[in-house]
Amino acid sequence: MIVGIPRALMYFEYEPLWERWIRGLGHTVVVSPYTTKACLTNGIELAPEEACLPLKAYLGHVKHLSTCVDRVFVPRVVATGRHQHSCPKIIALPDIVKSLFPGILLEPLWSVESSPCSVGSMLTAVNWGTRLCGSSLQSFAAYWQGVSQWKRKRGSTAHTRPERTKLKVAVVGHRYITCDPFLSQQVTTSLARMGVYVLPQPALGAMARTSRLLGKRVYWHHESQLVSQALHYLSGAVHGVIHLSCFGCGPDSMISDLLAQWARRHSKVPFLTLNLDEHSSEVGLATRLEAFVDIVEAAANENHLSSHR
Amino acid sequence: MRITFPHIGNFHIALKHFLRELGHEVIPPPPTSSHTASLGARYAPESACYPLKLTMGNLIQGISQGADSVFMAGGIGPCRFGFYAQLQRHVLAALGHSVEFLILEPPAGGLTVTAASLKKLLKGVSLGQLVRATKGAWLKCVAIDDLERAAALLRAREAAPGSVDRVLAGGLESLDTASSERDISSVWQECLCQMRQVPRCRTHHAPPVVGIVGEIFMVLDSFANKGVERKLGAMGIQVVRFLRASEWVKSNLFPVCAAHDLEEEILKAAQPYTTAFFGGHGRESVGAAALMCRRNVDGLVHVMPFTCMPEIAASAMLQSLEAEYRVPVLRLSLDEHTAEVGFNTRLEAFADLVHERSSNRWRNCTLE
Repeated sequence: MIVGIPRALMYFEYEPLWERWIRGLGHTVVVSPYTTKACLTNGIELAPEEACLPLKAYLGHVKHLSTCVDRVFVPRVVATGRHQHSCPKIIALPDIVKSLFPGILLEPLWSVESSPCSVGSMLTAVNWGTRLCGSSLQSFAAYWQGVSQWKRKRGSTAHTRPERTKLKVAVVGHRYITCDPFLSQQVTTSLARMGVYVLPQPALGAMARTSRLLGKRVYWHHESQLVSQALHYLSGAVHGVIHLSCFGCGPDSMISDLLAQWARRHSKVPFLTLNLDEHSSEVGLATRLEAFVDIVEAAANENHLSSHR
Repeated sequence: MRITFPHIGNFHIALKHFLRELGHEVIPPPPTSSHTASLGARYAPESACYPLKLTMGNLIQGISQGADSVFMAGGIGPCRFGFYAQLQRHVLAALGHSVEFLILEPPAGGLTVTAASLKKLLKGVSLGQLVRATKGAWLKCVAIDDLERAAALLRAREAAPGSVDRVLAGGLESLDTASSERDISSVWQECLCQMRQVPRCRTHHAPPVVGIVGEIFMVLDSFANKGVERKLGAMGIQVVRFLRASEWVKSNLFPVCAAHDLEEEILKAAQPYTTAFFGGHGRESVGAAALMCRRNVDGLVHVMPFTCMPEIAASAMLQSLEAEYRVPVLRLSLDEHTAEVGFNTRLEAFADLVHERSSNRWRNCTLE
């Protein structure tokens, strides 16, 4: 059987895990190529009107895969750990795909409710894999290999050393936007072209206390990561922070204003929120980035001077 | 403590009763108006959902009338509602109001916050008083649900437009002033009787039936949904809905007694489309829509706040349901920018469609 995996949404969190695992179960795996304009246009036609940019892209990926695979692997990522929920659209993703593309889902549905390394998900994963390949030993080996590859990949991004000479800017936001060059409109590469060093974004990791912002633990995993990363960077670890968000993102709508306010009150690090959708123009974005880099430069010089005074 | 709280439909009546019986001074905010909406839109985050903006406006108005505490429900996600109270507290603090928040979180969200709120709320309250307050408020809640249900049924049949609504408004007003359980029951029954006696127009067949599904705040609050239920009724359409405030209270605050036939039936009807809870009332919307289609409604109205996450997911599933049952679905995604006139036009067009469908059915029935 040829199984397709859309390179969108939660794929970026679990990057080599799913493909290694299903390949290990004896199936051919096709991961869709990175988002393109045509792919997004397909998705926009299919998606419910108010869907957010990444969901539209996801449906475009499924559409692309539907022509060349037997089944598409759409896991239900309910939570990535304790009190770390996904957003409702991600939880309902298999149902959305099912209603738009009948008969394309890989059954049985794979449901994620905790970290892939936890004993609970190991057991359910082996059980799930056995139903696809028949052998529980092969299923266990495949999952184990997937998880170890995933862990290795996660470890490698966290340890890249920043260069000293340049301005350091952190880009925070959902990884399915920041890691997708088309959806993030090449923000990272444009920044690099302007001579700015962009910090690699760490993957799902240890969470700082996110309740500092609102007095309640942030229960969405992407937002709790966002908050803990942003608060860490705003404490002075970088010269500027850019928050990439997309129009219509529910959890972000509650958090991003607060983050901006927090940055204004408690931090000297410039903070920029970019709200993306399929209508944003590249030129407008470039202008905003240039302006931001100017501000970052000025702020960095000022801080540098004041620390030497 | 002078307590205020946000509005949701007519349920301030029940909440007011509860808090007043506990011996607190209650300052309900003025009825939600366009001023409330503009206040909320001004101070709430720009792309937050409409219910947050309305409730924010309510609280600001309530506090400006002298309240010093706020009574709010909480949540544990993944819907945005779980952060309403925290965001409201944040915004009110930024506006310079230091108010105390009494937040009731669902039991799964931890008991510390709820316990602290209850401690303040129940200070010096005897057990008997608490039981009486809860019983009275519960009775009022059920009565409001029942009266609204009856009004939706009879509005489509009234001879003089607006006569049912006048009776309902009168009934709700006297329900608000009733204090003992006996009074509440008698007001309830009396209002029902009066509603049944409203002169009806003579038609040869029953009015078409339209089901309302969607996000609970938008469905219950007639300001937020621009009176969709009343307007459809005035166009001669009977409206049914399964969402009731009393059900919400039961399933969220007292999940133990939530095992309820209708709810189980709704979730079962949602099975072919979704098997998971994905926040808010998304799954319930799909299930209720499927159940209503099976019961042969002539149309469905899906009411949601603009950018509501669970309802967007549900609307994708409603698309396949729409094709399967060949039933027209009107998607109303509303916020403070929704224009009344455009809204009415869409509703009228939908009503025409529904009338046509239903009269076709009747014609086919008589031919057979």
